[in-house]
Amino acid sequence: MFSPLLVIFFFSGFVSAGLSFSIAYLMLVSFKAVRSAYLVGFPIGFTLLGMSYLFSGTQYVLSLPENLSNWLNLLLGLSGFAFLAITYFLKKKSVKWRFIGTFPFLALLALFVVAVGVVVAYDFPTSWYQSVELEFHILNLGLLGYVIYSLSQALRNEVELSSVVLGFTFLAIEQYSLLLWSLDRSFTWSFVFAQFIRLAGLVIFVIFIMKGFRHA
Amino acid sequence: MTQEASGVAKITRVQNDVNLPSDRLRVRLKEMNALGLVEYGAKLTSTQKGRAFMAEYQKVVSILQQFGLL
Repeated sequence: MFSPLLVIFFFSGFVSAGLSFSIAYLMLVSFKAVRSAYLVGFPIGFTLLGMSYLFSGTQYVLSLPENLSNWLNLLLGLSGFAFLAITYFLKKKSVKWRFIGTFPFLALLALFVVAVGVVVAYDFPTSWYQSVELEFHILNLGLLGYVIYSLSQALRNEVELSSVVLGFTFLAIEQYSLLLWSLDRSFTWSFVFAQFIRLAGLVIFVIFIMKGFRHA
Repeated sequence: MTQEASGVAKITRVQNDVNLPSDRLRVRLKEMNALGLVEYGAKLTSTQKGRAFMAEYQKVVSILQQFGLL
């Protein structure tokens, strides 16, 4: 028997995953047209975020080992945000550091595969997961802060508030809400709010890109 | 701009704009000609397919600029 909240978590996970995969696909189309190496981080980042949301959704309906799905959710989320942040970092350094190409992405991907391998191979106790969850959300907030800072630097001549900045700000609020929830598990509404604000952020991205492809 | 609007351009003018040596520019133009994006003969003419490609490319560039990625 599912409670209404579990149904919300399940659907928000699946819808968020669908939206993230759509953004990843649209950014892949952009990457194929422009062919700058650093742009590949964006579709990979959103694909990893989509997989993270998919895991968080499926754990409410499938009998996946809870510990494993929680770890995968955290690792995929952190890697996704790290890919997005590295994309902005490499964009800034693309003139001076052209020689490094996609090496940072490959290194991060290798790190991610090793981390997943360790989590799968060793069944860490649940208390470990709970003790590091907070740090993961703080790291995610730091990475999103860097993305928003880079974006505002790149768009400093724009008069109106960019939808893209708004979308990333919503994702940062989601991480903050999850951080509050990891501090106090009884604060369920913080977790519920995180689901809705994440959906809002991803919908903003999809609408913005779709509009761009139609009208620009 | 006038050349762009008419769809016909002089090769020397294009060479100045893209800042490529003439041999490399000719290689690129032959490739674009084979793809049907331009007609490369005595004059350089953009095709319907070429103009459609440019319109799509500009959309992509605009989106990436709004994401602060270009």
